[in-house]
Amino acid sequence: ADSTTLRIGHFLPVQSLTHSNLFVPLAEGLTAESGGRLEAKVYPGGSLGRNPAAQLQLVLDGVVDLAFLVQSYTPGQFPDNSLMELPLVMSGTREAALVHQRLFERGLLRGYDGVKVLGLGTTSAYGLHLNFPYASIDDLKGRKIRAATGIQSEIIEALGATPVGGIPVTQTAEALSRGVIDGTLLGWESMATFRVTPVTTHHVEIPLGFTPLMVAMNRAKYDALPDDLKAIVDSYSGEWIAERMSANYEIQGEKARKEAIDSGKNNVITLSDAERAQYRAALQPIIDKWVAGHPNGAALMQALDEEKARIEPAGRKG
Amino acid sequence: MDPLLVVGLGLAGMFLLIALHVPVGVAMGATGLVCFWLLDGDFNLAFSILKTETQGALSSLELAVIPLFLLMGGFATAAGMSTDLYRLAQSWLGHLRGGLALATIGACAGFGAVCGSSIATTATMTKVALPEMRARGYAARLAAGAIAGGGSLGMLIPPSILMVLYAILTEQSVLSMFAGAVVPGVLAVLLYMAAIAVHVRLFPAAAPRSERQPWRDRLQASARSWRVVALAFVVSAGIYGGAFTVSEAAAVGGALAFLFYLVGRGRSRASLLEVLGDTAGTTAMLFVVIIGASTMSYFVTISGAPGAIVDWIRDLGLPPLGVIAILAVMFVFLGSVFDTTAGMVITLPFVYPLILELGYDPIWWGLVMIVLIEVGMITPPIGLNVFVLHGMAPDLPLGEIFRGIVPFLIADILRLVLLILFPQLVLWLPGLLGLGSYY
Amino acid sequence: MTPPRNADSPAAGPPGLRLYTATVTAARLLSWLAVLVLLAASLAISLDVTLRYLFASPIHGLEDIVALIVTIAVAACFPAAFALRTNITVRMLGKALGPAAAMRLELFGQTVGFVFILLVAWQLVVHVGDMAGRVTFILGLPVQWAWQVAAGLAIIAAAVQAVVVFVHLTAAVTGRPLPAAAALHGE
Ligand code: NA
Ligand code: NA
Repeated sequence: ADSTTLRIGHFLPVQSLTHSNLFVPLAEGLTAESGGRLEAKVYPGGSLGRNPAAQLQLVLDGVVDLAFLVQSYTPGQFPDNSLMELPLVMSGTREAALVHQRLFERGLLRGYDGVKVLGLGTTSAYGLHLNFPYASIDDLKGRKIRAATGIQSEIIEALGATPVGGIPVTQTAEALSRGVIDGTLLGWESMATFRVTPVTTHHVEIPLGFTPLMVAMNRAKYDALPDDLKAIVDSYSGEWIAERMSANYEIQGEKARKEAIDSGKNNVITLSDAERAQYRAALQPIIDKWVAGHPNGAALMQALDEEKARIEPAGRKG
Repeated sequence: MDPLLVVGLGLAGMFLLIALHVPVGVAMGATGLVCFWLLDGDFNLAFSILKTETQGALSSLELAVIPLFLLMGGFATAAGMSTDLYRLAQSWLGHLRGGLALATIGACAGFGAVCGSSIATTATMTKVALPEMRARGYAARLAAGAIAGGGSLGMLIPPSILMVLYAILTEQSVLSMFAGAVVPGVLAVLLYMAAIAVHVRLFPAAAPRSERQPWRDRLQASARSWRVVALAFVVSAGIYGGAFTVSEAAAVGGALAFLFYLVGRGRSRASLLEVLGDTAGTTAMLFVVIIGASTMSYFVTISGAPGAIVDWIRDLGLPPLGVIAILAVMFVFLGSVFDTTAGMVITLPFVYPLILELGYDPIWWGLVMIVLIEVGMITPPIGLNVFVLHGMAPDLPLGEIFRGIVPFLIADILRLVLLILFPQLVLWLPGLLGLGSYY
Repeated sequence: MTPPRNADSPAAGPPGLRLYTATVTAARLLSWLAVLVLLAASLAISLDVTLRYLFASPIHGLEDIVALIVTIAVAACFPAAFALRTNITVRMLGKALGPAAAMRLELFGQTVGFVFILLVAWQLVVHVGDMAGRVTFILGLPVQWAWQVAAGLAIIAAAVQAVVVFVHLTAAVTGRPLPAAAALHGE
């Protein structure tokens, strides 16, 4: 038996597109193209480790050979990634995913040394989802909005609302329906996954940041592969993953957004240029503060702008 | 090696260790580590699972609810609230045979409405209800059965940690799960009460009858139990009225019970230290079991046994009800071996698609499965609820507790049959509230 | 707090009983502190919830601090649980086979328990290394120190369990059983 087993673990549901349209094709592709010399098997739904925050450690230790990581669950580990969480810096999922991937390839992102990074991406953009009528930015004053990270906390404060921490995304719908909080920052796909849409009424579409994501492989496992198998793994890496991941989130996000609009109970609000300018005025200090306060802030922001300008239209790959 | 054989050998080893006086959580953890090592071949890897699960348990905000709810139960008891509650129960129900056992079920249901875990409910009610029933001459068997059975209401009556987890893993609505659980929860309470009524009719000596209390005493007892009502009211009104989340409710309940204790007559250094010590002991005991059980789940997953079992069931070509019957037996067994969360997480990726394939409603299946796993928690050979009870009241022999479970088990089976034959019992309320399931 | 009833007559208990009793006392003291800290956290959360509900101004980042406190406090409960042998254990076989066999079975069970908690302690020490540079979600406070404390507490629990194994060994060798846990509770 000179075949190598690859355990691919993730904590997402079997029904998610990320499972069926990223991890399953990845496993099937690796197994088929290696003629069975790689035996890749997907362990979905957290059956090999259900704690989202432990996924990095599971792949570092080798309990799973490949894992799906939400980097913001391990704050401090990827100190440069808060760049992706900044508001109004990037606008689309594909743009954010490719920028993330290419900034890494340029060697600008720290904290990735322990693992073999297969590919990077992001969730879709975080918008504002509220359970009270929204007419203008002033309506946010004094409202309680869920914050999951330090930057989200700053964003909410800058908008004149009160950040409320300590509510896991899984309890967000419950907290909203009972009025513990009045709103949350979330991407559309999470609005559907965690059933937040039915308990919110007004949705302000403005990109308040992206959560960085990664598919990582155990480094020793990768290094031990013969060159031809490494090449097969490589062909399923990098932008293959970034494109597929962002396409999945775009499909899921668009579906969730359409469901909200079709429900007739949800008001999806598109802002005018003047209104966007109000958000820009309120939030620009957060971006400036990050650039000034981050050790490599200016260089990272410049690289981000360069990569943004270089993004080709979709459909090139994947 | 055949995955079923591997898992079978692993489970046999675990039972052997437990029989040889190895603590249950330790036996599970040890079995998990050794079997993972044997299957995978990497020694250090097996240990790293212990690391992941230990640190995961110690940093889990969901599990942090456990000591806080224990603290609430401890201070409520030390403040004399349990005595109040049982005086109340005695005054209204005591003249019925089995009145305090009936009240225990009611109290478990009430506590279940603020607590998301059946183990925490069992632990708290053991402290609150067991001394009262025994002091009033109830047979140990009936008292223990009512607590272990009633404790399962902690997970069956919303809020429930397990329902939240199921909803997330299957992309269903948590609110639909909670709404769907209401009718089965009420059904559980009624059937448990019926079980007690039948039991005490057959065995009148199990529950001594007391005199019917005059109305004056009843009203006095009711007035005296205002603290319990206030505590329950603040906690549930807080959750449902939007003041705080379920996790925060545990903290608020603990703090409030502490304040009641502080201004009440039960206050003393000895009783304070007892509450602190009991909370610590029970917390560590539960965490050892959780760490052990979740360590074990890895080896079951990589053995491939859950997938093999589902493939086998699918290949039998049975009608849908036949498949559900086989799954039912499987889940009762699972619930008896694993902690509920681990049992569900391991099997869901394989079982869930099968359920959808058969055309069943995912909310319905989620609740049936949770009932099944909870039944496993009170049946031999391993029933965690029963062990918690036995751990806190070691003078109650395990065999006696398991015998006491029998009437409640019959009620459970009856309820399961009803839920399986009449899915409307689950689906009616979510439908009424406009909450559906998603396919 | 009171010493076991038979502490003054060593012939009644196994050698090492005094060491064991002292261990129990120390571990219980630690667990009381741990739960007091949890109680303080409950009070802080209640205050936070009240401020949020009434004035929409919660305590900023409290959940970060609570998360660290809970980790340490739960770990500090372990030594007492091991010292008092409150872990869920099925002792049917020992009852069936008689006191001498029960003492040997108990020695075996407690020894496996020692190996387990030793492994847990070792893995938590490894975990401390994993946590280098990690911070909390909202406030960005360092978290490694909390895991150092938790690992230290697990080491203490392992040391406590070593004493438990030792006293079970002397009990099995001399045939003098340990007093019941209730006696050590001082109840
Ligand atoms: Na409950
Ligand atoms: Na069982």
